[in-house]
Amino acid sequence: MRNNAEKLGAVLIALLFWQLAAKHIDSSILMATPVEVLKRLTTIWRDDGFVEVILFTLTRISLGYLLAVAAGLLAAFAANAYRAIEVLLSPWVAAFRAVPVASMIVILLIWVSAVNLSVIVAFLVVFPVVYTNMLAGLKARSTALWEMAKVFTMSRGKYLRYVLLPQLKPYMLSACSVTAGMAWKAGVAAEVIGTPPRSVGKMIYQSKIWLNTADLFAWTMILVLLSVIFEKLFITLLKMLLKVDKQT
Amino acid sequence: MSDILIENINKSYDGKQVINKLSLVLREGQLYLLDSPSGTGKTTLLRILMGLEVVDSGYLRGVPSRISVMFQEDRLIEELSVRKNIELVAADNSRIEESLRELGLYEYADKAVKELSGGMKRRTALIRAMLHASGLVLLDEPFTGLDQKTKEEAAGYIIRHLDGRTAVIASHIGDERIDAIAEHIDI
Repeated sequence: MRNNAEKLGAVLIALLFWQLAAKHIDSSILMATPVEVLKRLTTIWRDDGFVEVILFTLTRISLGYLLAVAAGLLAAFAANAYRAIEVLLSPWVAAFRAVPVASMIVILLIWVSAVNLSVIVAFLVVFPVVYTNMLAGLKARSTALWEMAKVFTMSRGKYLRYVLLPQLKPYMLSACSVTAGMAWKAGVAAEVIGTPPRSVGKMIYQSKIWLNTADLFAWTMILVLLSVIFEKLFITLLKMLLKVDKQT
Repeated sequence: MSDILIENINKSYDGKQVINKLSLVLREGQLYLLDSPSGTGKTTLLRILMGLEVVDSGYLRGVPSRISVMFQEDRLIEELSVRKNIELVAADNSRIEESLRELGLYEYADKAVKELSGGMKRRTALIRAMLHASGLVLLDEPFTGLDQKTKEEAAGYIIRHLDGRTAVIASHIGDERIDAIAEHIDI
């Protein structure tokens, strides 16, 4: 309770600071006030094609993210089973982790259309983290329980559900939680640079060109909201999926 | 089922010989007690019979494909209930309740294993082993952590649930009833 009050207080102070800075600058072109941004947020959803813009960005970033989670999971299982796969994947994973997102976007723009760029960028940012985390989880799994399952000739399904998944759960939740935000940041960066039509990234880019900071801040807030909702929803679904009832 | 033949097996770890030219015949349906001192390779022999270790030389014949095991460490799934741990490997779930009653675990059946005492976990691991359908039962230190009364209950339970299977018990804690019917192996 006290923690929440402290957090709310900190947010209010930050908003006050923003309001004072905007008043001091005294130019809504350079910095919109929180009130102006809030007003814009109440009208932005009525703009022509608002839903289409949100859906464009949401579907592409979600697709890139989900594909990366699935691929990272499969690759980690394959790499854990066959060392050759781990060795072959290592330079790619290292490169994807090391290359700055901006460079990655510009390089990819040479080969890929801007329309699908955010799918690939979200994938490339998320994949190495999911892969590395899951591989670490698989390597750290209990050998004692694996031997128990082997000796009792437990079926693969039972082993996966009752022995392996509960051990991998913290690794998976941590990887998915960390990367959800990363996917949105990288995906929207790709849209801002590639400016595909009717995307949130293009809206942000246009707001900057027209020096419309109220729009810029409003779109940014919408993105933060979408990213948080996406992460919470996905993590909740994942927790439900990975839940093992002790009685069942 | 048939006799299990262990012929001239050797096993070493990091250059240290743990089992040296061991030959044995485990007759079908017989209970064996490995009660030699610690460090003489009892657990290693059980792990070889389980198929978890490969011998350096020698051979084994007639080891059944299905084996019931009680490990020295319980190796239970801590988050799952007592009942679920047993159900995962039990051949016949209708015998679980009776077994839980026999070993005083009936009231704890739906508790997560992580909430149990060491002795209760040991008894859970014992029930899991005995209710698994197999041709060979291997119990590694089944009485560790049990007081005199529960040890006697566990010994009685083992004898009642052998069901004619070949069994090897590695234990440094003796029990009169098991001593009376088991053939002692010295390795």
